[in-house]
Amino acid sequence: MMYQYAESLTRLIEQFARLPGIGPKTAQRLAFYVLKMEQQQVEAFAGALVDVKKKITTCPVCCNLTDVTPCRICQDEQRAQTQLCIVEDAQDVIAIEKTREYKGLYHVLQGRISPMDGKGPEDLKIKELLVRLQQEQIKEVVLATNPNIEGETTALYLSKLMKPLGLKITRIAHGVPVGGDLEYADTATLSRAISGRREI
Amino acid sequence: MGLYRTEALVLRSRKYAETDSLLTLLTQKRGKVKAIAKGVRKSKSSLRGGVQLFTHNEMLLYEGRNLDIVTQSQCLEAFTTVQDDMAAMTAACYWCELLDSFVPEGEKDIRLFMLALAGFHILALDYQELVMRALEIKLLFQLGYMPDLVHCVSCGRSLQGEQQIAFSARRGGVLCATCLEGDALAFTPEALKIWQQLQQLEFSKLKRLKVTSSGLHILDEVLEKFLLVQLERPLKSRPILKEIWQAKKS
Ligand SMILES: [Zn+2]
Ligand SMILES: [Zn+2]
Repeated sequence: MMYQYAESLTRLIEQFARLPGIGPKTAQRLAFYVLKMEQQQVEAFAGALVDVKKKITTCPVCCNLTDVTPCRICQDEQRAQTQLCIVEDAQDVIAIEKTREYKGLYHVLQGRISPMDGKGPEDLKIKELLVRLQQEQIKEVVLATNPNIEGETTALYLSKLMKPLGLKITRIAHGVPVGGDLEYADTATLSRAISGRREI
Repeated sequence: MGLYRTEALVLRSRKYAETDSLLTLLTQKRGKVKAIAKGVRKSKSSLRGGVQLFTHNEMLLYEGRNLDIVTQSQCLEAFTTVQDDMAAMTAACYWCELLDSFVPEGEKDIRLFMLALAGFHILALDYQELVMRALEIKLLFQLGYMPDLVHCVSCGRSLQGEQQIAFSARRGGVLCATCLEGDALAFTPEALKIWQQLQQLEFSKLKRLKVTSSGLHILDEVLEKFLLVQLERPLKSRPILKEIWQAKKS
């Protein structure tokens, strides 16, 4: 019979291999690393995994990740209650918060329209968005989906959907990145940059 | 091993490592190829403009052991109309998925390349449903997936002029009324005729084709099942394209 790893070790390797971007070789390396870790460290690691799954939920209002219901941003009355920034994922909320430029509310779509991955409008948190636009005092919507084909299409879809509601709809400005060379910019980026030009 | 220059369509682009993209290309010289474009997710990349999704490029590639590497690329044409139109974008996604799913890797086929390129040019047209059916049928034909539309696939008799016909995706062709089986799909002489016409007609003549919506609907159902049976898995973007068309109509 062929020699194999002990059952518990095999199981750990399999678990690691299920994570995105981790192949069997890396999974094996990580499992062996865990074996070398201090007992305490391993327990803290396992605890963190269980904790995050137990404590983090989706905010019923904005669909962002949260450990309180509703989330801290939705609860914060200091924020502009008339502005709503729509993003694809929870990470994007963090990225925008870091700029300290925006003081309104958020709505997290939990994805983008991505036909090649089988994701259509039905798979996003759009129904939740429409409920908010009816019930809250939103006056301006900022579309902050990513500046790629899927993000643009998602923004386009939402702007058409919201148009009859008479809100002010804006799209985050983007175009040729700072340090980027016009010559090397892709056509889509360049055409956006030209149509979105502003007076100086 | 070594460098080769070719025209290439970007069918798919996925994140790879920190700043690279893994591309699926349909090339004129080597058929379908998987290639890495290094550093293109950095904003200063000089390669970036020539490796975007839905573009036609002139590329210089280095042949690797598993994956090729894009060393230079110049964009010849970007199908930018796609990004301003939800249905066109979804149709482009579907065309790419269809090509990626059915075309085998590494087989040079100039006519297939021409068809793929023509597809990008016409998929934003306003009779999009007919265009997509034509693309499906022409692609199947080009790759040799042809159902028998003349003889009953069960008893073999000619069904020329027959009114009562059905379609068996599993057996790959039409059935006569006597040979009707449980999983057969509804089919009509009109839908059959549209299939044959779409296969033969040049794209420029599509617009003049007269079809009823029920004929198109039956053809859609039959093609969907036929594609599924050939591929042995569903196409992800096909139902989304339908969803978008439906939303447009209502
Ligand atoms: Zn919230
Ligand atoms: Zn028969």
